[in-house]
Amino acid sequence: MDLIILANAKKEGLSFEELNEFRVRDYVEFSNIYIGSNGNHKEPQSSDIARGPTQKDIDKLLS
Amino acid sequence: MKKIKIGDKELGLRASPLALFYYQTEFNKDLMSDLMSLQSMAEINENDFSDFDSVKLLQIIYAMNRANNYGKEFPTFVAWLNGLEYMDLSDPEFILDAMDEAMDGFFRSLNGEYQKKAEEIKDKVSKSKSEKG
Repeated sequence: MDLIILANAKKEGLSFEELNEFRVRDYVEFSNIYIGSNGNHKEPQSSDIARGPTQKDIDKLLS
Repeated sequence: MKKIKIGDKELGLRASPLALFYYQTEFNKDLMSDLMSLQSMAEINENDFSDFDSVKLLQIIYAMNRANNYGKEFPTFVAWLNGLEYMDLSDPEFILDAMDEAMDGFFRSLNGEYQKKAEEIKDKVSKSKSEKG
């Protein structure tokens, strides 16, 4: 259990010092938010993804 | 983070994931399961802590105190115990404070339930003390 938490925290980009700021229950909460499994997670829709710039956008920017 | 007083010393306790790791490396046991066994003991004897496994409790306090001192030199369990000049192992105040931080910090589902219970027990104990004295 302890090593799993440490390994997961490392994957989530936390240092031991940062991890130590959490209580175990707070870390679990953080992890749930990080991986998006708190019940509110949804797959990104095509409307959520930004489209790439077109020549028209570049012309507008430079004009 | 919670502070408890053992004898003259004030100790900061932190129920962080590192405390679990320190417990495992120092005592080669799982903190969570030891904590659960202490919890069931406390339920049996609400006002009487004489049967409490005080070594186990001190080990948990040690791990949480070590987590609170992350990055600093920290003694082994025996040296740490030796550094505590005086302790009253039947004092419900420090036992409940330590258990409170542990139960509240390590277990997500309790949501302050243990804290309420600990406060109730503390009230009962202080009332019975004042009645006697």
